[in-house]
Amino acid sequence: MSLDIGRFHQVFIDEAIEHINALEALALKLDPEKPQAEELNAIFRAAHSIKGGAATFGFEGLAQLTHALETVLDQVRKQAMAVTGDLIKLLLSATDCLRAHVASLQGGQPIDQDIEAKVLGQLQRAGGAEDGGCARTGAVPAQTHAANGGSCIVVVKLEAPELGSPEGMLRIEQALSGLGAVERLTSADELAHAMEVRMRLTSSISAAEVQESLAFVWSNDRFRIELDAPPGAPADYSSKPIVATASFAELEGDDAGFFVENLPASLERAKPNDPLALTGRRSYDFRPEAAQFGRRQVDRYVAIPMDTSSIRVGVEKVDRLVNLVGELVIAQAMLVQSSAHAGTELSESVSSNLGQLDRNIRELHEAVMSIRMLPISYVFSRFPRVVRDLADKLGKRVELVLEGEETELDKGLIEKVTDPLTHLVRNSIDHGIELPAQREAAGKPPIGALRVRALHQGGNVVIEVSDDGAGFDRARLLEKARGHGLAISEASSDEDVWQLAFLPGLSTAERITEVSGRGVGMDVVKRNVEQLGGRLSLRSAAGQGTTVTIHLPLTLAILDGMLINVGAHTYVIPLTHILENLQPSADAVKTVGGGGKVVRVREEFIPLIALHDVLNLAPRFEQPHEAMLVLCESNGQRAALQVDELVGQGQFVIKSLEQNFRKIAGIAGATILGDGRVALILDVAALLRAGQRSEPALSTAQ
Amino acid sequence: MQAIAQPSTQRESGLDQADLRQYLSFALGKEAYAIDILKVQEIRGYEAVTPIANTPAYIKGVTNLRGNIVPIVDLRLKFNVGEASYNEFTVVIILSLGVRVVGIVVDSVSDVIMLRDQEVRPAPQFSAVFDTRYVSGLATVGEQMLIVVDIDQLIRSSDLMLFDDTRELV
Repeated sequence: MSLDIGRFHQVFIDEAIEHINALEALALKLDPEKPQAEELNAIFRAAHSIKGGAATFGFEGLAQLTHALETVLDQVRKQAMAVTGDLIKLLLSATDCLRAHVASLQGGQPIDQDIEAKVLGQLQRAGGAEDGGCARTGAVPAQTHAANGGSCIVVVKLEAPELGSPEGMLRIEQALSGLGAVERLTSADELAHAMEVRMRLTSSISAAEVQESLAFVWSNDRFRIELDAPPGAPADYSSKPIVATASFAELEGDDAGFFVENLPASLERAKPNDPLALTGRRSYDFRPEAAQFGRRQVDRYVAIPMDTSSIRVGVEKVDRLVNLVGELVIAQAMLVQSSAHAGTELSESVSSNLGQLDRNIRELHEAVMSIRMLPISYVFSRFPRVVRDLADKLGKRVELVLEGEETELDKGLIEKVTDPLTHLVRNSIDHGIELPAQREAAGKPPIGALRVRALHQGGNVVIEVSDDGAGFDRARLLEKARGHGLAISEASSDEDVWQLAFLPGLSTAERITEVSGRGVGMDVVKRNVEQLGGRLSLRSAAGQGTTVTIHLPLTLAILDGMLINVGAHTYVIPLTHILENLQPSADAVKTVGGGGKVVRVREEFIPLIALHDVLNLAPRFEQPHEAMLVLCESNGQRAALQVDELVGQGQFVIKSLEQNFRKIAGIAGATILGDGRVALILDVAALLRAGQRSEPALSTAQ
Repeated sequence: MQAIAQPSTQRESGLDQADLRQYLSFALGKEAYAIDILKVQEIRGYEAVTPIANTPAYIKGVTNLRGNIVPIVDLRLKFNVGEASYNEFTVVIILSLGVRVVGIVVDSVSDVIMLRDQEVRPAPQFSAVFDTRYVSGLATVGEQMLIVVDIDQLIRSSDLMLFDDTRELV
């Protein structure tokens, strides 16, 4: 079990940055007047995701921060706390803090412990204060807001009529008092000869915003903003209105300008008369109301090294590209077809050019298709750590085996399958694999085996999580089910009993531990998988272990398949299901009771499924010995599919039927053939299941 | 498509345009119908539809619309009107309904018309080929009565069984 720590850290960091960006964007979008529940939920999810990842990888500082953030957001989400401008500011400063933290993990500047501690304190207080603090401050005038403000020194040059006069100073003070609490630093004595006055401004808005606001009052060359005195020289803040009213009153001690540290340098760099340079990001929302809490100085993370080896592109752009290239492939195929008809009239150079075009388009097609596909190692690579930590915690010994890490699947699926898979892995260690002593007592090696493997099977990616642990306790599941008022017979098959584990609320109380997370049970895993268009099955044997198998569709995968004809229609059979093709002799086919047919293949009788019956088509050949048989296997079941003709093998781009239509039993998807026609891809597993139970065809007809 | 999208029956263009809407009218059996033109993505000929086993006859199958798999529904078959023949004059209206794209086969596409909201009058209970649930009103253009159809509702309806219930439109 070799660990490539660097790799999975990078994945986590990429994701965390994505979540932080989402968090920030959502926080900026939040409208204090009417917050959208959906947005609040999305923010919560983003924070939750970061927290989950951080905890998994042992980034405790980050986990702590996000936990506090999550607590606040949870209250907001449940409407126990109102959305106020302050809250949004707090969210944004938390976002900054997270970003800085992640940047430092990535090898940027060291973490600023002070800032972090401060934001954490604010979050914890906000979370603890429930609705009291946060909602109340919403109504308090701006200068008393102290959620995350700081203090800074504003130095204003005096101009001719004001020189040396107390009125000039008063005017400056008035101008500043709109932004926060003002303290004169230039005494009356000094004023007589001073060319400029110094004021300490303690405000809820960042120094950058102070800069912006003051730009409306004075020209940029008339004032400047300086760093406030360092902590340790505590100013007499307790007499300021700020502390008296603020619910996040931590200004007393080391409040020396959370937002200000980097400011002098940044202001110098960003020419003060260029307002855009100050805010850094031009894509920000410049509506006036957004400006209140939206703009912050962003120089803090300008220093993060940009990863230039990859770019992030909207998935819809890639999808469009994929579709267009698909069209190109078809157009090219048509061109080749018509050139074949033209025969010898076509000059040789045109033919060879067409061949060149063909190769180029094929390569283009492959390149485009590969954009969306990522190896599942992106998910798998986090398991070694998860397993190690969890096993240590529980005093268990587990050997993790990862297989098929190179199996590629759609990026969207990778992201969404991570949580369910992690949950299954945790489940296996927590509930499946026993303690070493128990294992030895049961005659098993003390080290439990946990195997996670991925493979392509037909139109699916199959991911298996299997352990050699205790397995499901049939009796207890049955008992629990009865406790829930489910009528279930003692004689039910194991398969039916295991299905009970997927029912919501049926996870047995003994099985919930801190390890298994926030009460997320198998039902949630199952639902997640089903949302992805996949399905989940479970095999378990008492004392021998449990295997959970997830079948996921590859929305954009390329499928190796066999084109077959039935009557006038063309279908694709996924190649992975095909064992062999054969043409039976007339006496190899027998009819068994009930009208079903079997075919003898090398001393073995295999059920025969006539596709034209299942698909209600008029076949060219009724009799199996005239037709072709495609011997297929799925989930240990075998059957021979009777088809009229084999057309050929090829690679097919799987297209979803469900995007504009619905799921059709027996059909896994569709693909577009070289001539632009649509061919349906058969769902061999479903066909075999239906055939096995000799159900009346596929009963979705209605 | 471009030509069709242009209003051809512009009336009282000087007046307030706010409540004017464009509709695409089409014939189904003996009746004329109109649908909101914003739901119409394009109009195509009927071509190469791949039938799907074990679906109702009015679901003709799926076709390839620039790389998307789009189901084609023959409203003539569904509502048992007109003649369900397929030739070079058969017209498919491609509808864009939220996230879904669906094609419908009708007898013929007639015109693009402008109607004011108040010109679309509530429909009495009558026997059109489809349920009055999907009829948002009646309008008269010249001598002709038009049945204004809520095509979203119709396509989405469980009558048509086009979609799994799990995914909402829009």
